[in-house]
Amino acid sequence: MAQQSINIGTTANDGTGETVRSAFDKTNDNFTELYTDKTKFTAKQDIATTSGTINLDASSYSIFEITSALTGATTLNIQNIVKGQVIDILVTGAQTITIADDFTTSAINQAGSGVYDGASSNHIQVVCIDDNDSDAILIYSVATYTSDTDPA
Amino acid sequence: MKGINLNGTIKTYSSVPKTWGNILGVNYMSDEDLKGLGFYDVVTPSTSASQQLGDIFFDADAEVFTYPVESKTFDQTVAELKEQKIKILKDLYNRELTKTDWIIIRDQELGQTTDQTILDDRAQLRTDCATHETNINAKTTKASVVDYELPNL
Repeated sequence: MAQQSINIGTTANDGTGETVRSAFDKTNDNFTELYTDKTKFTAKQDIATTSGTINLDASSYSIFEITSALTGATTLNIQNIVKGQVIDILVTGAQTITIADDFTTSAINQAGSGVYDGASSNHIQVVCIDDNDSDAILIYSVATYTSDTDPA
Repeated sequence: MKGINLNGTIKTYSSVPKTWGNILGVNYMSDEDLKGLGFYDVVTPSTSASQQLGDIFFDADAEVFTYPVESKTFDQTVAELKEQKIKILKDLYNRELTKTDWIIIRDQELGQTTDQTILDDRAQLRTDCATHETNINAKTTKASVVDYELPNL
């Protein structure tokens, strides 16, 4: 939803602004969207699927965890990601992973030289640099991670 | 070893890269799936001393990258190559004979009888060396001289 602006009239009490009810209705709508929208920056999705194409809806979640080791070749299809958004994917399993997206044309580039290790827990981070549908750019990085309660 | 044709240039890898573009864990792919990415086995033909490998190419029938085997060119004549080969041969056998030279010298100096086994072994080395020399001299082409395998003593 596009932002709804409140018509406050030209000058105070000139009778050209909208009603208080209408104004607060717009205010509610605007806040509802913000509160709903914030989940895409805070919510985590646990995914039980372990092979094939897995859709990752970046409009609803920011963290995606494949809860079991992959059992077959997997395509992580990132959907609805917007410029500036970062998503994190937690995954393991000795399988091939293809990172894909729902843009018409995109470049998916790797940052750094980390490699996916199917025997370890892996953290794949994807940032959207450009969400132009015909020329989108995603950059991903991958690294293994382990539990470390006392990092040196 | 795997190879891939990248814009006309064939690049070889001792093992497939673990990451390829937007694909992670490429090392977990089957050979068939790797072919889908353009990765094929690299087959290196064996060569003799008179041969060398040419530029790598894709053999579409065998679905492998491989190399043509080409004959080396030699500036020397057949006679010169034989001479070189025989010199190497004689150096080889001379080193073996040298190992027991001290026994012969000691026995001559002290008037002792040399162990017959030693004498037989040395005689055999000389016979073998002469046989190889005859074989080398019987060769008629440069490649056959170069490819003649000397014994591993």
